[in-house]
Amino acid sequence: MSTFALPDTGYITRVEGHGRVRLSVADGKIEELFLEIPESPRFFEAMLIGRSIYDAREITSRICGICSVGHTLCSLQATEMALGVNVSRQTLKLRKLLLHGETLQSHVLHLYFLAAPDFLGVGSVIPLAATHRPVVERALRMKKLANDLCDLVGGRAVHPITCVPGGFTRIPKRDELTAMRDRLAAAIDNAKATVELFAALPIPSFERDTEYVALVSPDEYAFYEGEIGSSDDAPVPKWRYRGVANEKVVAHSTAKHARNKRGSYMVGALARWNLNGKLATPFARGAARALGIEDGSRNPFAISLAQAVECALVVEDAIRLIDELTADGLVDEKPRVMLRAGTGVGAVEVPRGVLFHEYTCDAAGAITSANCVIPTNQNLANVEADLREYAPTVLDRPPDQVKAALEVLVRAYDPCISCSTHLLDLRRR
Amino acid sequence: MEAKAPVRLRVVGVGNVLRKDEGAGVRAVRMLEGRVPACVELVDGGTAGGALLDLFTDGVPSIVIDAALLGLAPGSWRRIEWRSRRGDAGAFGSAHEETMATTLSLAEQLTGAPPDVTIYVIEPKDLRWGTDLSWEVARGVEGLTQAVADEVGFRFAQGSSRPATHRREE
Repeated sequence: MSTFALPDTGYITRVEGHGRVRLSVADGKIEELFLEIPESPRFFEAMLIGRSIYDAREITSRICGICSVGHTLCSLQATEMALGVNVSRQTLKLRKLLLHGETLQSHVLHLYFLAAPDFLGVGSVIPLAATHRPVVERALRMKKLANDLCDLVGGRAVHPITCVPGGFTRIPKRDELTAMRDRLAAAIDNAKATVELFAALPIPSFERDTEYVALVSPDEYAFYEGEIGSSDDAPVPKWRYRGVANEKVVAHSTAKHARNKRGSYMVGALARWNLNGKLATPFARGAARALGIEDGSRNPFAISLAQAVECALVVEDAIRLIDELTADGLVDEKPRVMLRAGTGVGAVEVPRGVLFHEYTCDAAGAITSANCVIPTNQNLANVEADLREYAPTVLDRPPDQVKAALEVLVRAYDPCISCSTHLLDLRRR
Repeated sequence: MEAKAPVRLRVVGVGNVLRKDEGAGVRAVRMLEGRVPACVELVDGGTAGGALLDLFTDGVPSIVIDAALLGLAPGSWRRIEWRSRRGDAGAFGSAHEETMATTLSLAEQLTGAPPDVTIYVIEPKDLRWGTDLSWEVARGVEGLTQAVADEVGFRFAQGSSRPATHRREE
């Protein structure tokens, strides 16, 4: 829903979720600090009950407009596991290619529309478009490329429609993929420029030791396939996700908090880089070196830097995937799926971190239970822990600067529920 | 394969179809399928927010359909021309799924002129999780959809990208 004002009604804001940091300070000490979430997509799981598992991916793609590809692919993994469906290598590569499109799309939006204005000290991307026009135009070129990649493979720029259990209803043509490859190759320079931009921006220096959780694979920088890795533990298979994301209800949020080996853990681009960086492409490793995170980082503000690295990585890896697909020869496979009773789990790295879907269906394919664990929920406890350690370092500043500094930290996580203008409720006594 | 007709007008439905009346815009666009000329592109924009920016920077006029809290009776709708009403747009909302106002403002900043966008907004009644529209909004969407179809027909019947007069409310 939009923000509009009619003369006699006043302004209204989006109904999409909002987060708020509640900070209360007395005599220079923090009395209360919470990240409040008034609502979360968990209500959504109830909507799946009784629906056909075949339709789950279409419903779940609507959880989030930015992560619609990730939800679709995670849903398909869970569905296919429940129904005992194995997909072809071609389908796997096309899905990875599609996911790269969404990762690029989302990271560019966050880096240029949210993080860059924060680090350049302007309120939003709109003044940035006036003062740094070439930078914004580069962002739009990259975003258009990412949109077109999602459109080519998924049939739409958002809410993909070609992905179904077992494969695709339509696959890209060879010449379409070749044309996309040329555009991706041309975008390498844009990815380099993105790294150069963020290497020059003043990133706050703050470090806190925490646990990092992401998919890991011995073969590749994992986005779509892998086990659940942790900086504190050995990898576990995806169907054991509940043992990693031990969710608990907290009083100040309808979104549950997650914990594994410590009080909190981080998911997302920095967690992925810290666990998978050694398997990254040479181009991406060079980008990480330029950004000072080649060997990992414990600074949550470096999440943006890891996103810049991943922009380089996904562009380069998308080219590799297209080369393999065209070399192998594209086959118009006809996905066939038989319904049966079963339980399946999906685990996919979406832009903000690892996402889990789990469904159980009966013999007719009707979903009898569903569970979705989204990255933003997994990060909430970690954001709060960061805020508790970071806030005392900025409390000597005027209230508006404290507010701005803490909001920048929350936004660094790229949360789905963030609200850029009314994020912080600061009370000082 | 048959070549696509050049796009001369877009109709973009936005909103979350899982939040009952919030998805009214997407529902309206689905109802327009088969009712507009081939040169009119129907777009299910979902909750993509800022990801839709490209739609408003290429010079193609757009009609956007969305739900908005206007203080009217549920299911009532209004027609707003962005060029004349953009000064009323509120402050930025969600940080990651930019509001339509933010997206259109950015499009103006980038192109140097306000985008040619007409917005149909409908008052929701029920924004809880669910896939069905409330009775009032379902009825309102029918009228709104007919009005959009009329406007599309009028635009092309006149050979112009803009109608001379508008129906304002059902």
